[in-house]
Amino acid sequence: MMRRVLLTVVVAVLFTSAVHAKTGVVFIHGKGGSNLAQASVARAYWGEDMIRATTKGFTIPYLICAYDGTQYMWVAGGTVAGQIYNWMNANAIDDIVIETHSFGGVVIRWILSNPTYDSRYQPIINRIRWVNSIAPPNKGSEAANLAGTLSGSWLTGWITDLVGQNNDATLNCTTSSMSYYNQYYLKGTSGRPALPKTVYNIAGTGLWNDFVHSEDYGLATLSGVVGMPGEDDGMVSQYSAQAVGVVWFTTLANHHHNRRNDYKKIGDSLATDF
Amino acid sequence: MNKTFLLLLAIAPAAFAADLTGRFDAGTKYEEPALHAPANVSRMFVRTVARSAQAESVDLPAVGGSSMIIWTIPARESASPVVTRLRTPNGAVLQPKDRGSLERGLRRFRLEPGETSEMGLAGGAHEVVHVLSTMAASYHLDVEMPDGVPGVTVIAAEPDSAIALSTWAAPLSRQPGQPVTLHAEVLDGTMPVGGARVTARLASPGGKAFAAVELTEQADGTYSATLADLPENAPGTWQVRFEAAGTNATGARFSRTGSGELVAERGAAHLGEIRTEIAGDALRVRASVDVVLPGAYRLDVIAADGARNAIAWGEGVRNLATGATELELDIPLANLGAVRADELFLDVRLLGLDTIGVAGRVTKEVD
Repeated sequence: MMRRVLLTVVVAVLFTSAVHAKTGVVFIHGKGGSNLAQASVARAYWGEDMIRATTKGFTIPYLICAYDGTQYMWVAGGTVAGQIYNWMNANAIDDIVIETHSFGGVVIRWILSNPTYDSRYQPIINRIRWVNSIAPPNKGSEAANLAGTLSGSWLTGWITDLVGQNNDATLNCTTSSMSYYNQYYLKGTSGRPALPKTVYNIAGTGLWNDFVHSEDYGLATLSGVVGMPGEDDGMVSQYSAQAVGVVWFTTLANHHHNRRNDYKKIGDSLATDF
Repeated sequence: MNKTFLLLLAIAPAAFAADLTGRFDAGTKYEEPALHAPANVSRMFVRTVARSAQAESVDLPAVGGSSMIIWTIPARESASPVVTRLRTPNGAVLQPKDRGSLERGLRRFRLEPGETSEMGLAGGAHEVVHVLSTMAASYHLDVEMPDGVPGVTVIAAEPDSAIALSTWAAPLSRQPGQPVTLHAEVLDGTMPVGGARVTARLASPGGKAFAAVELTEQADGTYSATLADLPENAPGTWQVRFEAAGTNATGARFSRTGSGELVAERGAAHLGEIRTEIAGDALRVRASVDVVLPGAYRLDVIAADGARNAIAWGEGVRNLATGATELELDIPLANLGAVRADELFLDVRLLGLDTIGVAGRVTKEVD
């Protein structure tokens, strides 16, 4: 924590002295439906209060990335990179703080890890100050494993209806797939080259946030059924979220609440970051 | 023509990007790619029930000493809900629409599709029955499905149970022709459980499932099967579903469902001999490659010292045509620090970029 404060001060001094530095915030959501490619759906994913708090009352320029939440990280990365590239150039943003939730943290790792994959990646990386990554499945999610276990291929055709959304993004997030990608394509885990920019992770360690909110039952069920090791937020285990980067803090907000500013006020914390 | 060229420049994998090199953080140990992914550990099992005219009864064996979560997932949304009735070994019954209570040790919850959509499960409303503390005996879930629901999946988990099934498939990155090992381990706490029946089914990346394979018991609660080849030549991620059933030392029945995955590589290229030389202020790494599938690849080099401390890395995109060719990549000597070139260990990889996958990997102790 002290190192982070110190780094914040140093960076603040550097950027204060920069003549024309213009800071912006980019939000990258997690996986979900294909309708997350719609701007309004992506905005609703975060909730208005999360965006307001993080941007200090909408005073800081921001971009809410909107990509199809069913795709692999390299497909999502292409969409996200296109949106950031156009936004930062159109608005002369040269200092970007990235805020990600869940699979969004894997998508930005793909971009940071593979600067030669797409000609837009390196210019974006050059302008990133750092990444705040909320509940990223850096070593995969046991919940994603369950989706594979229930895959439609195992029985008769009717069950494919059930798992029609056992999609590429979910496959991307199994513990086996992330083990594979971490070894060959992604940087930042042990034994691999460091990422070119610092990632600060925020792991969720709570399940029961709001007994009126029925989503908590779903996450508690998932956590119990799939047997996540250690603490988890109902979708991503703490060990997985903290496998990359620097631990900023943990939160009792579960996986649904830790992308919003409605429990434990994570948006308020993000706003103290720059 | 100019517009096409500019577009290609903008969106294609960065075919014209310069090679990248760097140093590892001090203290980083070289890590060889793992043979298999970390084992998946399961304390749950899955049953699927197709709709019939009569109510189906699902047998749910419990080992005892744990709570039990029984999650019923309809295959399709329906105006009429799936109806379930839980019968416990001591004669207690949780009737449909009965929400139960903490005092009775049985509770029922409803999950809406939105609550599980992020993990890729949709379908109609889901239902969860929570047994606060199980006894070592069978529970039974009677399931009545309305006309529009062709079947249900029932997941029963004992999250605090000592009986755990650990599973994996190897190799995680499997080149064509390599045998496949399916591995399972059944433990009761730390005690191995023998005599279980363990099977595994593979499913191809296209979703086609193949016949169950029986795993043979080895020592210490482990079970395995080795396949000379995959059942069909389909590159991509193969999923494996394991089923284990047996009894523990006290005679209590158990069932567990596990999972695993491996990536069947395309055999896109063959990485051959690695040679090195000092070229100016760089260590030049040369690799012989026989390309089967043309396209964009990335040549990765990781350099470690004799004690396997990771020292430096380099990577560069190469657009390769079919046939034999030679690749080279320079690692600045400055990045090697005090380590002499003839003390190095090199891990050289060729990775697909048009289609993600490992084309080849070779290691070399530099002489």
